[in-house]
Amino acid sequence: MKKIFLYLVLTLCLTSFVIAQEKSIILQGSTTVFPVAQRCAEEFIKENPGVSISVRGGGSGVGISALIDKVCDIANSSRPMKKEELKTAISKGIDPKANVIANDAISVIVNPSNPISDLTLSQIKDIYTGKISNWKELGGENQKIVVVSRDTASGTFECFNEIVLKNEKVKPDALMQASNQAIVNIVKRTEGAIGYVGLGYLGSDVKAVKVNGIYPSKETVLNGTYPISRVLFMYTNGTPKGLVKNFIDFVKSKKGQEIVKEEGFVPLE
Amino acid sequence: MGRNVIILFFLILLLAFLLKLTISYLSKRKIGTYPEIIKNMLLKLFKSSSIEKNAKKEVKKNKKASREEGLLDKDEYKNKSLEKTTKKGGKMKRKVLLAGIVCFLSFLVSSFASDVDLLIQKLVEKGILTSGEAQTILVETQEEVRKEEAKEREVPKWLDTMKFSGDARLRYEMEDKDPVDRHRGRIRLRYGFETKPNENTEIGVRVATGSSDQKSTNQTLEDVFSSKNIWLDKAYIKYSFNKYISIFGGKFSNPFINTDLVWDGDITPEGIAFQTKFPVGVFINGGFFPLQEDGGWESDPYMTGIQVGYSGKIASRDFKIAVAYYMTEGIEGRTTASVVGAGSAGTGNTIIGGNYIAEYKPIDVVFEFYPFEIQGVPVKLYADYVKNTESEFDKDTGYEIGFTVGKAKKKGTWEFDYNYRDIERDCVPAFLNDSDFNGGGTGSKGHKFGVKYAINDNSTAGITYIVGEGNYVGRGDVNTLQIDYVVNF
Repeated sequence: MKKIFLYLVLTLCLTSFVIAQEKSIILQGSTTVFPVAQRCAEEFIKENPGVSISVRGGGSGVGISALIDKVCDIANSSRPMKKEELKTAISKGIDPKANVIANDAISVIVNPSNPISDLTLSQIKDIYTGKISNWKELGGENQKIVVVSRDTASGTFECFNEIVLKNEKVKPDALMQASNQAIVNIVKRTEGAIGYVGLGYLGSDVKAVKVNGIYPSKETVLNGTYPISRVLFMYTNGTPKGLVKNFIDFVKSKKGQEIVKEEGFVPLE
Repeated sequence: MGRNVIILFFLILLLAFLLKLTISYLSKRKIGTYPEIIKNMLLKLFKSSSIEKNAKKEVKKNKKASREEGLLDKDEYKNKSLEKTTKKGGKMKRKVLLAGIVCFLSFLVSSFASDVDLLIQKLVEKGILTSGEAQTILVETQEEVRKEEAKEREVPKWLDTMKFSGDARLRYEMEDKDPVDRHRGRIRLRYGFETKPNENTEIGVRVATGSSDQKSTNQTLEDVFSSKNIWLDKAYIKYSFNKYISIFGGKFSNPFINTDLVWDGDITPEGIAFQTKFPVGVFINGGFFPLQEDGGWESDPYMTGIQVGYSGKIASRDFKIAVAYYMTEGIEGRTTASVVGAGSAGTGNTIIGGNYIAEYKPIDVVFEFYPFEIQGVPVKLYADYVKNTESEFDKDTGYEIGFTVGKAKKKGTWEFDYNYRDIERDCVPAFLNDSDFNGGGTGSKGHKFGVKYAINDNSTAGITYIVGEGNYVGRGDVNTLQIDYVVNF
């Protein structure tokens, strides 16, 4: 009888142990963080066969909501959680833990044919709010400015809105785009266009302009001189544990930070 | 080595914890603030670390000079290799130190977040942290601080939405009546709160001075300074399905559009009720109100009411009309005392042998209209007509017509009100209507004048004069003067 009881207990313990072993994690949120998360997930799975990682986009707000609703393990976010989000999370028993995984700068881009190469924060704000509508007003050619912006659901927009627009509204005829790549595509095709994207999306197709005399780069982001820079987060519910911790550690590791670098963001070190 | 690192790590943790306790103690003893104490300690630490660094540099310099001069012996070579080993250990120490710093900041972060920036900056300057590490620590620390702040601010919704309100009134009242006039000082205090524990639910509680008289919250100043009672005046739960439909139960504010022709303003009905307001301006109110409970459902008297109305504009001026039908059940043939219990039966209804002789089923039409303004001061016309459809006698009709000019609310504003009414004795149950007019109840007619002036915001002084006259034989005439000072809060 004792033996049966012992076996039963052992079986229960083993079953619990097997059940308790996490084998999959879900990441959701920022489209800016998405490429890093995706590639890190691929590499992590290679190193940890049998593990499944699902990476979803949707924007920082969506990811944070998913974390609060306990439908994802990691919320990718290109902005800190808002006060209201923190309050909601706490009221629902979630303990949001910010894990910094990379740095980013929002680069203001123009068409390569545009002679303008330096703008102030105030000029960018005036362009986006419609006070400046022609490049001529900034010493450029007599050409109408085509304003391209991220849609208001994106973390990139929220960051730009907070640092540059100071919560003023973007001019109504601005072309609101759902992704960084869409902005790059429009700016490279349109001579008078101006847009903004994460540092990782800079390429030869578009020209990044200096902001307040500072060019967006790893150095200027880390030393805090580039004015439109931000930190990228992976939020977890409490201090990461188990598989989630292993994954976050991987993202922060040398290999993970190499991926961060390759994706055009600024690594932590 | 690994074991030593762990021991060192825990030692740092312990040190940080003890440090926090010490600082907390010192802070309580008012020996400097948290930030000042920490800043000074760390600055001293940096200072000593700089001295040590400078000293090491000096030794290195001397060694280089000696080596150049060919003075380096075997032992010194050994020392050099030892230095290399120490460097390796130094890297590990640096990691431990870094972990210690993070723990240290985590312990102290809630206390002096603003000074963390300065400390981190110093650490970067001293080469202890890279700018990337510094930024990571700073941001993660800031996020922890924000989270802690949000936690501190998090209060239960019912507490967050709780609204307290009340009013206090001092009154001098004189009744000019036969056989003798009456003079009395009266006070009224009402105080309560409303709260919303969730989006749909509201809970309200109010206590008030007064007596068991449902029509008055006045407390007469009497009985040689005796302590006065406080009564439960409201206790209800209101559930709103949406912004159009609400139901409530308990003891609550009157759900019907009314005047004091039918309802005394102090009555807080008990039972269950509902209010609906449709976007087109139509509203429907109703309720079921137990009047007495004496052990048997069949015999318990109760009252029901339903009201349909419209609130809109005539020539862009606000107006409101409402038609209500009230119905008592179970009071016919019962004594007034068995119906009202500790409450007040009021004066005026036809009572034979101490019993109610019929039920009351009045139809009531209330009308309000704001036709114009006089130099920005609103003018309101109002009228109320009531007819008891169940009366055994002819005295079953009542009406009131009047106007109000202005609104005494903000300092310097004023209000004047006048109405005339004729309340036949059986048009409404006398336990419902105005308790001040002609001594209260039904069977009266006359004029009521009132003027109020806001001495300060939410504070008014007012005079009311009622010329009351009985409208059946045996009903006396009472003229009433009320001088009030009211403060709302």
